Amino acid sequence: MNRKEIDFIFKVVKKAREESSVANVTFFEFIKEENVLKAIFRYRNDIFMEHNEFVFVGDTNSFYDAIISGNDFFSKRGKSVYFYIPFLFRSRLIENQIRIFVFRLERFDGKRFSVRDIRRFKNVISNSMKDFDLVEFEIMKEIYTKNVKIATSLGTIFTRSLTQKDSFKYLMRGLENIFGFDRIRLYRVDETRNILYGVFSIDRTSMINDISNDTVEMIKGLSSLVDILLSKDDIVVKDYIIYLPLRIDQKNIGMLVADNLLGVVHIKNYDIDLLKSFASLLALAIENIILFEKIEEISLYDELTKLPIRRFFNQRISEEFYRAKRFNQPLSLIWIDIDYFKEINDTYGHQVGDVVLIEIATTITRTIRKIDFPCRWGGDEILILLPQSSKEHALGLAKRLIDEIKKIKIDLSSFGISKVINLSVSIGIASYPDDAKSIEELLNKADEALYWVKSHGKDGVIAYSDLIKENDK
Amino acid sequence: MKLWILNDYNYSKYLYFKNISDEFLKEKNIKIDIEIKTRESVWESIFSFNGNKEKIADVFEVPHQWVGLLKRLGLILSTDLLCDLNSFNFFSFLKKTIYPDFSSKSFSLPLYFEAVSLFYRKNDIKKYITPTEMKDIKWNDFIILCEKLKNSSRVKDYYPLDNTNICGYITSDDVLCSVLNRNDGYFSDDGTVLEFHKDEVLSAIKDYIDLSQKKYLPLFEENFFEREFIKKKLSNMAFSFRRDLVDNEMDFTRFPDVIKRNYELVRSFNLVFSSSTEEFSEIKIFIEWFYKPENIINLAKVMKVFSPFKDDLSKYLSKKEMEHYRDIFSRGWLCDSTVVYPTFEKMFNEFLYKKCLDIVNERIDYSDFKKDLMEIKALVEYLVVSY
Repeated sequence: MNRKEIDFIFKVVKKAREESSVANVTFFEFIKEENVLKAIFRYRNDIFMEHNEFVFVGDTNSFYDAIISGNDFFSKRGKSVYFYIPFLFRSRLIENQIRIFVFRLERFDGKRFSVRDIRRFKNVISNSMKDFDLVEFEIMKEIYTKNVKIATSLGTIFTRSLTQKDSFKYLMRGLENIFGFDRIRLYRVDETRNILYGVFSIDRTSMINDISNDTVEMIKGLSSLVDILLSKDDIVVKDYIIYLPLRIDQKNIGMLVADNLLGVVHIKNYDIDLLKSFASLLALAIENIILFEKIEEISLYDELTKLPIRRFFNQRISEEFYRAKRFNQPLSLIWIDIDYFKEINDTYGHQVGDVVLIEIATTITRTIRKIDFPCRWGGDEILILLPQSSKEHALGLAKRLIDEIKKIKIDLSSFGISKVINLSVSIGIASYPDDAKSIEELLNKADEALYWVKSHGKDGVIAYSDLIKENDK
Repeated sequence: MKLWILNDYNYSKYLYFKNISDEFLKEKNIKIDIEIKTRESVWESIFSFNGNKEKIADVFEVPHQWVGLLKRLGLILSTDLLCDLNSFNFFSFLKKTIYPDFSSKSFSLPLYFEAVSLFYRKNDIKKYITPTEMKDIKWNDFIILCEKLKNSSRVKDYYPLDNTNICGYITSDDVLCSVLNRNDGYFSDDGTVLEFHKDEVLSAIKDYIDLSQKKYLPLFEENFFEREFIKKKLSNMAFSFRRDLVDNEMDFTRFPDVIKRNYELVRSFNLVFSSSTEEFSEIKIFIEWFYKPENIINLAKVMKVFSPFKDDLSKYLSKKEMEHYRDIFSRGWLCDSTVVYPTFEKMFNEFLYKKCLDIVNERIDYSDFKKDLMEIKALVEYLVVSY
């Protein structure tokens, strides 16, 4: 029962009690499908108490007959005397809806209720309950207003999600805040691998979890998720779970799964309707995010090596340099040049040169930390920005990279050449604040260090501060 | 400051808290707004979504097994911030209600606890069983006793047992008494497996439901509890978690055993403190003022329950009760307060509600019994993994 309905009926009971001398009342609603009276509250000597009591009414006895026909019923046990007054409420707003409310007057002294008290109590009930329609109307109005608000909020979320950093997370948080599900999970279809894979889940504490391990092949019968997606259903609701296939022009792009499993709360019909009506917009928003990510990837990442390009690096180095200065932390820069890259290109062709670049970029990506930021600076030069890292840390990483890159063997047989080539790199390092006070200085010093290695036999590493010492020798 | 207390058939509980609120206002000049809530209603407030969220009370009473979930949802404060737990000498078995879900931080304070016993009218049953046999009665003998009592009564609406569960049907806690006869609770020790796959657990659940099916225990009756155990001619025994049935005509013993039960079921009701409260300092003052043994003992006396303070038993229990309950408390056992336990309980209660409805409608059918329980098991274990 809705809180507004309870408040209204409580006021009616209070008034009825004031006009009669009935001290104690328990209010029930009759659940017809179960033949049970479900208590909602008690009013006992001026104290309002929510109450849980279920009374089986049966379907063949005089109690049942009295309740469904709106006649009074009397019950007594020991000194407890109960008098039931049913009230049949016919809704004018919802067609064919009849609700049966039951007021139980209680005495604990073994005495009967006076006819006058019962009459007065019933008069108040029948006069005041006429206005119960107004409560229903208010509740419907509230749902309508809420739906309009949700529609507006969803529109805003869908449009803003494109411009937000971490767009998926933003979208999911927005949905969670609006609908208040216990958890929402987002799945995407990977057409090339023919799988449905998890992206994120978000729960009511706004905690976001990676569910990328949750993958299933897009084959019918393997999982209920896939079966629902491959069916033509717009939306599937199973008790506490709602499955919303995301489709654009009948093409499956993913699935949104929302559940109220933890709270064991059934999903409300108006939430289902709203989600259903926004399903195509939601799918569009998700498709847009995917496209946006692709465009971002193309414009900020090198197509061949998948490493960020110089423009992206310049943006990032400014942020990191500012952070290093602000929090007084070290920042290092590694500048890598592939040894004899021009010769490889000239001798074996650009295709082999491309393979070399891809292999080295992959090795670098695999070896660095998550916070490190690599970049294809141009040609065969690769830079790595190392936040919160001193010269010593950078040297350690550079030596590991040299070792790892030496392990790469490029087999040229697929190019029709019977040869395996080995690779090596030259590396220069500069660090903030020891070697440089500005971004330009940091780049210049790392480049100077690299130049020294290249001019001293290649295949090695030196930090700028050590280069000074070398030069001083 | 807003305080929610759980509804109870015992009206004195509300009078007690009203009195506490009046005294607190008088002594500390802080007003407490008390609301009486059902578990269902508190649950709805917890899970109502942001748009319509009813503000949760600053302080509220919950069954102890909810504390882990409330902590996980970030809804309650650590009591480490509010008081010094070392100053309270609580029963050691209540520790897991204070530190939920294997946490090292405390998140609730026990308010009172209950322990199950079998109460019976000694004069009514002496024809069928001796006092010595009754003292350590086994489940099978208990069922025989119920059958004898039922057959010997010619009174309409007679049931050997009265149903003391306020809501009128059988709930998870009732059945747990029976499950403890055959298994150490519903879950495995690490809380990850719901042991509905075990035959002994299924039999224990059915054992308890059968009490109603065999018409030993009534269901969905009108609630007359406020006048205490008044069904003198309509029943002779009752399981109760409280001491409310103790009088001169009654005797009490342990819940009937099957072989040798390891534990005795105890359930605690605790106070928790909302993490979104704006009345932090008032809560601190309230705890310091309220959590004195005399206040807590008074509540235990009024509600006929037990004080969480270890040293208080002699202050409100008779010698005979002391003997009985000391033995029970020495093996006191509470279900774990894990994140998913309340969800499990809610699902299981829905299952039991339906089964009870089927019994009163005389359409009980056990063909889907195991299947339905296995569905609950699958959902609950999925939640264990997810949360």
